[in-house]
Amino acid sequence: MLQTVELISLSFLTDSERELILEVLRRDEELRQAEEQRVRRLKAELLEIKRKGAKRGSGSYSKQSCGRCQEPLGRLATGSSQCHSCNHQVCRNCRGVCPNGSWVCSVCAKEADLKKCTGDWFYDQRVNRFSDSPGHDIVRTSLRKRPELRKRETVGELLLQNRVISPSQPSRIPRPKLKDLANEQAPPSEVSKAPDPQEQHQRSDTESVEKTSLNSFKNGTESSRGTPVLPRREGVVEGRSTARSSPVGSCVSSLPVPIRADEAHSSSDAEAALRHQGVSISGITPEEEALFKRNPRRSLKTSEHCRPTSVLDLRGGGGDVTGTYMGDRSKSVPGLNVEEDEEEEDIDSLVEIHKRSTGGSTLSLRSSKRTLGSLLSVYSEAGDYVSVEVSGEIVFSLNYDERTQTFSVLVKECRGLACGDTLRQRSNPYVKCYLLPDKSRQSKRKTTTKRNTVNPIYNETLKYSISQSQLLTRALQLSVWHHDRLGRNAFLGEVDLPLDCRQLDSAHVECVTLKGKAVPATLSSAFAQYKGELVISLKYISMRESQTDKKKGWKKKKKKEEGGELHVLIKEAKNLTAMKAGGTSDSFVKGYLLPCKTKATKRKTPVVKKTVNPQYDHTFVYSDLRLEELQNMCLELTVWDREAMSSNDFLGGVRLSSAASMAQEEGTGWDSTGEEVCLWQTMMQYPDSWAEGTLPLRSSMAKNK
Amino acid sequence: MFCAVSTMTDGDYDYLIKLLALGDSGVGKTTFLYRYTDNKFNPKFITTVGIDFREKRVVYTATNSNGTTGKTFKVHLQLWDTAGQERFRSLTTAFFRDAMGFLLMFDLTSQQSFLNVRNWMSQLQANAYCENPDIVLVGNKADLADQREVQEKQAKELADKYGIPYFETSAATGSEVDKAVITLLDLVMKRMEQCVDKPTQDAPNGDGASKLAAPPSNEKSVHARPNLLPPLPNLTPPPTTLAGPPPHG
Repeated sequence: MLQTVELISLSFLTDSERELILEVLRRDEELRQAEEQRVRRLKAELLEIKRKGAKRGSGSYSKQSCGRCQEPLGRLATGSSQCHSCNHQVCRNCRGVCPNGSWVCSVCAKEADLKKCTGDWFYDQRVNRFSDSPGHDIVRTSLRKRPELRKRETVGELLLQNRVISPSQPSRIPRPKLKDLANEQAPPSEVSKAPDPQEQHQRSDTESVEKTSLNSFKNGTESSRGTPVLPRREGVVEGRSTARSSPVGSCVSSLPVPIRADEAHSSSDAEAALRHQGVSISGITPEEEALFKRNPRRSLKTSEHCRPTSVLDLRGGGGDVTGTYMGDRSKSVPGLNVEEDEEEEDIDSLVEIHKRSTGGSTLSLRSSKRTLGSLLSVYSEAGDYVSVEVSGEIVFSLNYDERTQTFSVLVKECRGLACGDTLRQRSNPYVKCYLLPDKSRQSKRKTTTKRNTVNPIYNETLKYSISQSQLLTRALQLSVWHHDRLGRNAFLGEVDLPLDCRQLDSAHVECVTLKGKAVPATLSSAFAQYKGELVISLKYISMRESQTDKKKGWKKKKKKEEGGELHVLIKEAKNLTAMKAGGTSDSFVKGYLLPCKTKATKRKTPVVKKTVNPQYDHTFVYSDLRLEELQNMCLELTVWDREAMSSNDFLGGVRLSSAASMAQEEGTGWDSTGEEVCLWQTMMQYPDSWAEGTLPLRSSMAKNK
Repeated sequence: MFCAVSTMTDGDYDYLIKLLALGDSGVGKTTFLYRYTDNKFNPKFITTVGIDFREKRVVYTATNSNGTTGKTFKVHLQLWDTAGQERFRSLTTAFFRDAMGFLLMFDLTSQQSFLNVRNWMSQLQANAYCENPDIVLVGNKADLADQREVQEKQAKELADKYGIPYFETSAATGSEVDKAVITLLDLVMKRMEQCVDKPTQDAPNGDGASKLAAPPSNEKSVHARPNLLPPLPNLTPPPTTLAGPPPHG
């Protein structure tokens, strides 16, 4: 790393020359900051436009309405009113005319505009050209996870960030931000060492994305790569690589005094804010954005690729690992292995698991979708496994074949694993692999189990059929488990590798230290991932009203006098996660009125098929309730994707209760927040009238401790 | 009359376009840019240390496909000046990759600087953001007619071979200076439009690059490029910023 610094190091400059150049770079920085601010503003504008009333996914929108403003379209308009970029039907007011006379819809026009105004047209090309340059392996180790910013990085910026310009005289440099980052934050030993998984993959996703779409262009570049590389170019590249050490500094938050603090912070704050906005209001996650942009095709692609494997997996599922063992396990939880009742029961147990898994186990922010793909996995999710001190490392390589759209994980070996069976001091390790956030069986792959070794050699390739754009939104999770024939499996460690900034076309062998389970995120994290919204109406019908219904006879009337009814109208859900081919879901809503989680309080809507914006218009009725009782009750609604052949997938949920009950009910502690509490209280406050609300879906029903 | 540099970092512009001047030492890159941005001439030779840049804001008027003038944009130009001296070479070439267009300059009174154009050209092809970036060839010091070593025909032929526009400028008089820069800006803006405007159905994220795939972009493509001298009328110089003074001398 440090030698490469030397390459671009301008040690040949005199002090005054260095000063002059630094001054130029500082001026450049000023301009760049203004530009960054402008770009951020522009991108926020686009988000805003996208958010406004655009159609999302398929579903309940009329085909005869504008895809942007949703005004109805004239009858004659069809055919000629389709935006050729996004294929939405668009009304006249939502069009932007291109210089060449054709038109696209306002969002597509804005997108194109943005590409020009932000200079992305340029950076995209550049990134494409330089992504394959030598030295990139080194670059990768120190990249930051901010592809957008990195893409826009300029040489001037890099030089300024790094103290390469004046390596020997920090005192001469007036600004603290010019201090040597490489020394302060990335000690050479660490950098040259086995790459830290967190940093290692920090690579621009845009680079790789560009690559997929640009095979033809690549051919062009190939020829230039063939020509002897000029020594100077090497200098450039190396310089680029060395400079990368600084961004790492600012992204690893625990490090003290990040240099460029002012800039890095302001930008990341703003970006975080922006992202937050995106998540909580418009909810444009990368996946969703992609879906939204070129909806049907892309999502279809992914599902197509995922499904077949899932079917395969279904058979091989959890059975390949355990025979007798599995049986044992299933016995302990009746219902789990009963086919017919699966839909009924597995959801319950899953919700249960969702809750249980908070306590220091595996529930990470991203692991929201969960199925009974493998019983083992479910148990591991629930924290039902032996914990041992994690040690050792895993050696693997990743590769993506653009032609076949196959992502391969070659698990080579593990070294120095902990002993899963502490009594007998031995391990029977196997490696399990997920492409997070999907923790369903579709995304699960496993190696064989090696007997009695802490240094297992696998050399097994785990394959995924997945489009590259999808892959970039995923994170690879490799976990090592000790398989115990009789007892419980033991967790031996894992690594999480986001794939968005990782070079996947070079099968570079990596060796990463295993880590313990990630600490589950805090309460807010249940909302951190946008899962869509649920629109419901609540009404408490008091006794008096039901008394008017006197015809029903004395007996019934008396019964009603004991309490009123709670009506829960499940109106619709919006922007659910698509689980099925074609970017849709077959969803239904299930409700429980806690604390009584039995069949007595269980309610379900019918399944609404093939849409991520289902209209349920279904009412759950809970009777014999006194208003005061509601104070200490909790309505839990969960949305599920109906899966005929296997277990249903969890899509999100809400938990309605009054905040007051939290304190009283120790142990249950319903963690209703914000709108959930609001709606529940409104309902209690105004009996006999509907209280309607749109609630963001939680990505997990796990409770905050 | 001209925007002061300090007030230009406000972000009130539509496009930030980065151009870069390169060429042998002493061909007049710095004075050329100085003439362009400040409309002044400094006859003293002060060698540039490594890199420098100047800024200027201009108004660019787009042309529609039917030839009518379209929208106008505020363009903020960042004009990078590079040292021609060999000792700064590793630094200067590093900056090539951040520029969207290039002013490749030589000295009309120095045959050697003209011969080196080829070398600069290959430097560009190796280090710029793409292999066939927008370049304008500039023969400077046209006012020194008696010391002229490079004939217009010679230079024109070379430019044609590369398929790039050629201008003979004088930083001393200001002749053709604006025209050269504006021509380059126009090329860059056109490329930008091209990159973005084509509907890209099958390349969701690769608009820019799929664009590049369209023309045969191999190493020779620079030579194959038609010699297009873009029509200038689509650039209306804004009264305040763009209008250069009549060349004196």
